[in-house]
Amino acid sequence: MRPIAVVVEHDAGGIIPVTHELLACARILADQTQSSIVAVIPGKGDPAMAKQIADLGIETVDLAIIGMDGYNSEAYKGALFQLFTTLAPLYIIVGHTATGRDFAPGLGVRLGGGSIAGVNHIVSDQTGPLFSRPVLNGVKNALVRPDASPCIIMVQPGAFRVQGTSFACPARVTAMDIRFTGGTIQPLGIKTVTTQGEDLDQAAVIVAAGRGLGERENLDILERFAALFPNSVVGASRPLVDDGWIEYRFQVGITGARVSPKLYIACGISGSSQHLAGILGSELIVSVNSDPNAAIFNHSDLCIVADLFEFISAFERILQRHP
Amino acid sequence: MKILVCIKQVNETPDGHTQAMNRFDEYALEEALCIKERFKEAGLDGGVDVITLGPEGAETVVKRAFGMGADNGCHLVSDPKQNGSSAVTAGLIAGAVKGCAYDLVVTGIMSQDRMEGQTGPILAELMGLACATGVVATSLVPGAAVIEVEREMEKGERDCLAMTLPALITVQAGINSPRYPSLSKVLKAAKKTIKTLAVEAVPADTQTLVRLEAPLKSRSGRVLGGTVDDKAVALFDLLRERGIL
Ligand SMILES: Cc1cc2nc3c(=O)[nH]c(=O)nc-3n(C[C@H](O)[C@H](O)[C@H](O)COP(=O)(O)OP(=O)(O)OC[C@H]3O[C@@H](n4cnc5c(N)ncnc54)[C@H](O)[C@@H]3O)c2cc1C
Repeated sequence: MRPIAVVVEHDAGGIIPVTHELLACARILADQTQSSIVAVIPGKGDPAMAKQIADLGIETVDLAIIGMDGYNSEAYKGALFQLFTTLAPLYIIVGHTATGRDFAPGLGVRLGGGSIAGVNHIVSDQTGPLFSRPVLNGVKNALVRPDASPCIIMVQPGAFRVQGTSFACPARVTAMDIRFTGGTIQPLGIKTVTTQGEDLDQAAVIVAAGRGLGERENLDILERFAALFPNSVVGASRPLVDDGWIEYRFQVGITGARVSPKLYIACGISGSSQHLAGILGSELIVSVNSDPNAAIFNHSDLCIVADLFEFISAFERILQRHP
Repeated sequence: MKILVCIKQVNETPDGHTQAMNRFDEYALEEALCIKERFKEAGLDGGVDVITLGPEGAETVVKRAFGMGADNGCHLVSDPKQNGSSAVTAGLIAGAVKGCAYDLVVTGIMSQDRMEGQTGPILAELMGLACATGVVATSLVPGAAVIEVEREMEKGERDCLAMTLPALITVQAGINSPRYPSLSKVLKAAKKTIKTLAVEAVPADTQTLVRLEAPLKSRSGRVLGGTVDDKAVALFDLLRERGIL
């Protein structure tokens, strides 16, 4: 029986929480395909970390890549290729994260298989599992069937819910060494560049601006709109930060801040998975978008299909009448 | 320094009336042009080629790239019905550039429409190049055989590494400010020829699209009806009710 392999994500601080979402995804697949699960920890060899996973009842390979110092895509691809050639997994579960995105597509090619990016859902079909991934800015999900094996499933962070752990018998840990002798990539360390501001954390109301704003000058209109709410701040989707319209500390999303205000008003934001990852903890989500099919509406409590400028002026007029 | 940039034409509006260069590719092209300029300043040769895979009409993005400063452009003309994944795109590009000795290949981090982010890393594997994805800073000393890059990680961290050339990088938005096509270059571009290649053998895809579905909803998604004023009133009432206003 070919197993389902899960590549554990970890950093200096230990196992990264997304790993548990990968395991949740693997459990769904294991149920559908009657397969077993094996977790793989590519790194320096870390028995304590391996025990943590094995204690969840999951067989674990503690894979020491000798000669690798910190994450290195070449070392990952080389060592995992060797391991998976003998393990012959049916599916390999990887995070659609900065690390997963970096090594998984190349590893898939090397293994003679394929990789599906940004998987957010699994549908059981007579032909086997179908994998759902967002397309067209999240307006649709594409259901795809893998045609090459093994298939690497790159899991969208936040998409698979972690079940509470029930009691499980600790599983076996296998320690393994693979030597890495590449040399075209030289790690130079991890650098922390930005400290997130507190503005977004402390605000009760976040009015968030997206590319629907059109022009930088229109930020004033959003500032004025935000000022109508007590304890509010203007946040933004990433493109506005990339273009230098607004500082990074106001960026919301997977590479910005994860926010949880009382009220989040998304103005002219389409609702890409990367943006959504930052806002789902909000109490109330209101979206204003001129496109009735915008993905953000699937994750909103209140959907306002309108030109954002017309809507804001209308709202300002109403407020003037009810001071 | 010979650089290849992979660019794609995407629909910029939901109805498909406006098409544009994939936003992430503009950053990729800008980065390549900046590197070329640094080499030129150091008295070294540099050239930037662009390649696009797309149906007839997609050569518009090559013209835009000429306007920004690309030297040569190639359009791999695909069947508009063909809807292959990144594996197919990368396979076709790898085939088309076989034998061209590029020092550096640059792609955007992903396309706006398919959002896979896989064309770059798969192409690197097929071309046998070292690869770094999600690059937010590059530095290379003209003449040296190494490129140093910073990859964007989650939580505001950057993974710094040096790669021996030739190599491939996929570029994250925000790394630079893409230039607008200059009038003089646009005029010159009109006289440039775009190399056109027909797609012959399409490599087998690693996946099949079965169907498209509406995404699952995570919240109730009450849609407000009526005029824009009605909608404003409805929001106002709700926020009063909740004690937010
Ligand atoms: C690795 C990675 C990390 C990323 N991290 C983040 C992140 O942390 N945060 C983030 O936000 N993005 C992130 N992104 C980018 C993300 O993929 C999207 O490109 C981005 O979120 C889109 O921003 P947007 O919704 O503002 O723009 P668009 O997708 O262009 O949407 C604009 C919306 O405005 C609407 N609109 C236009 N005009 C009007 C009008 N007059 N009135 C009302 N509506 C209007 C349109 O219908 C459209 O829905 C990341 C991408 C990658 C690859």
